[in-house]
Amino acid sequence: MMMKTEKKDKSRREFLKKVATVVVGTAAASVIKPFNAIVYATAPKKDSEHWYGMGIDLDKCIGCGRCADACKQENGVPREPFFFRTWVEQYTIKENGEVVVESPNGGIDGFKQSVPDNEIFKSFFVPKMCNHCAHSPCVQVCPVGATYESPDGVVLVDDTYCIGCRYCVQACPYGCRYIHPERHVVDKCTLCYHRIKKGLRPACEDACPRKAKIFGDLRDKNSELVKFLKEHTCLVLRPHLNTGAKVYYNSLSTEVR
Amino acid sequence: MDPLIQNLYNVLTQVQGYIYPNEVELHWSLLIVLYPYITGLVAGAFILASLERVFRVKEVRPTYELSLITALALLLTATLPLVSHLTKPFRAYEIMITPHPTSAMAIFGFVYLWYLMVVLLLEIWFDYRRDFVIWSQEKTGIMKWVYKILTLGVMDVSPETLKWDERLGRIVTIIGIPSAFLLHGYVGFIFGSIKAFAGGSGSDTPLLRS
Ligand code: SF4
Ligand code: SF4
Repeated sequence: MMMKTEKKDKSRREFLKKVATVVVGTAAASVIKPFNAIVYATAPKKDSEHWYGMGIDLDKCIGCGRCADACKQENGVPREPFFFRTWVEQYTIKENGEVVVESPNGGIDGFKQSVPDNEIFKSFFVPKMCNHCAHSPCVQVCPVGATYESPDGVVLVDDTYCIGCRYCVQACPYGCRYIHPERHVVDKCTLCYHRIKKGLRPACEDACPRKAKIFGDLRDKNSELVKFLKEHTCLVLRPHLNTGAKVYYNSLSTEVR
Repeated sequence: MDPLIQNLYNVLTQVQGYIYPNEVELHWSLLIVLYPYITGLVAGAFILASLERVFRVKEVRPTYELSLITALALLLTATLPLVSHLTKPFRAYEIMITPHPTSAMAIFGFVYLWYLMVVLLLEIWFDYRRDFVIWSQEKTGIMKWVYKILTLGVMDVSPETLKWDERLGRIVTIIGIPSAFLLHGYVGFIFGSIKAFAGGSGSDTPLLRS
């Protein structure tokens, strides 16, 4: 009897040990990962020649909305204010700590400040676009594989294949996708794939009068993007989701969602 | 103006605070909600049938056939709201022929087929096989042939074989009970595997849904 209980105790101890290892390991992994989220996404996971990303310098953005407008023209995005591949948000942090976010027509028509001057602590603009995530939630959920990642790290949609289930629209934590009201398939930023493959820059970057957007190849150590990342302290949006986002923001405040 | 866009402008006037511009359109709406509602009924009807079949609850005996047929009819219609929600409904079959293995929705196709083919159709077939044989002998015209096909060529109605039908039907029902939970709880998994919603995603969502 004694022996039996001892044996039981031992196997129970073993079991608890195993459980503890798994729990602690998982917890540690989930804490550590976000911290090196940038490094992780920067390293290309495949033997690809290029690995594209985008830098956005928030210190330079003046909220003119030219990028959002140029994108709509270049890519045939409907003009209504519900469909954007890229848009600009105005963040206003009030003296009382409250955060006000606005993006009337995606910033295409410019911004008006709705908060009275004396209540403003600070205000800034944040251009948004697809983050071309290296572990994109949208690619993961597409039931037919219509959303995919190109070998050079650009998340694209095959519109002859998309069934329009909208699962990816739900899955994108950054709100970067919409159903095109005329083509009836999902649409999103392609990093102007048709342009970058010809050596041109994305339309939004070309239109920016302040050069706040810096497109580049993370593989090429001499690219403007890699230089930008070296010289600035950059962060990605929602790093805790570990999406491997490849749009890097300089001077990103924690208030930005 | 396009009614969708007109509607979006109306919605925009009601938005309080800030949401991403692409999210003004509510993407998963009534049609999606109908689906878990219908599978809820399917699972419920099936559990009612299994109360009698597996747990021998005599009080629900009169509802046995009705609940099985109800389950089948509802299961067949359950996908209609889903398919009509797609913006390209004629491409729906792609989910079955080119499924993307990391997608919860693609695997759903197989969960659904499992429930339809392995559980419901098989159980109903075991229950009705004797009737099919008899009807295929009594009826005339086209229905005779329909019933003949439904027997799948198994025309033996000796008491021995009927006992086997009963036994196998019972096994299928036993497999069917967890499958009913799976089918219904799976919807929770589809929502739960989305990172983007704070409230809807989590490992407990499938349980909460079932
Ligand atoms: S809407 Fe299209 S691209 Fe998005 S998950 Fe569905 S099939 Fe894939
Ligand atoms: S930002 Fe959204 S659409 Fe772009 S890759 Fe990430 S999840 Fe997909």
